[in-house]
Amino acid sequence: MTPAEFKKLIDELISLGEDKNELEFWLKLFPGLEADEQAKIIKNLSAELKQLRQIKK
Amino acid sequence: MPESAEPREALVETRRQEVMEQARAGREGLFQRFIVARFAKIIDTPALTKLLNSVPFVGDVKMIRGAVLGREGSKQLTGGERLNYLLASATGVIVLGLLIKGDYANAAIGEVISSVLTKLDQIPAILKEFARLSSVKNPRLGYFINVLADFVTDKRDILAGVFAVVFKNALAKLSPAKLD
Repeated sequence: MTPAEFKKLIDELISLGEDKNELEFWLKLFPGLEADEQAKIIKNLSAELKQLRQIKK
Repeated sequence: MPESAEPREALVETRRQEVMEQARAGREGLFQRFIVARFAKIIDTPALTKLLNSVPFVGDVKMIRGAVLGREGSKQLTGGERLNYLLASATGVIVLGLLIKGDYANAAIGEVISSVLTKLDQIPAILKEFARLSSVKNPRLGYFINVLADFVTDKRDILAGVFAVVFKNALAKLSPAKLD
């Protein structure tokens, strides 16, 4: 996932009510994470997004 | 509005909050692992590695805030508030480790703690210098520390309270003799 794609993921979560301060911290930290760490945070956020989208329907 | 609409909305909101709470808890656990993975190697002292894993840290954000604020600390935290306390506690552990490993290597831990608590304004600068030094060998680590330093720069009040809790806990777990 590129930084731009990661930002899109963050932006959608914020639009669904997630905490802006917390997620903007992760957005800033992202380039400083190792590849496996980036994968773990992406997995966490993607799973949350999927669940929040389902609840919204 | 139908009679059933409000209860359904309440249920949906409850479920939303549960999902977000679970995800945040997961991220806090990840952050703790990211911190420990980096600083256990840098600090490289068994007792300090133990400290990284045992002080009231990211898994106990609510407890730290409760210890800092008393009864007020028991109320629900927003994601941003949790992050503030999480990063302040992480910073406390890192700074403590760096100082014990660095200029204060021969000082009693109590002196180190007292010294840090009187120099909270210098914490971002300490982290920035550490980031600069780290960047030479590991640019990603330097970037990571810089982000942490930027975040805590304007959070002196939270740092003061959290550092006191973290360091008090460290004092209870460590003695100068154990740092050899």
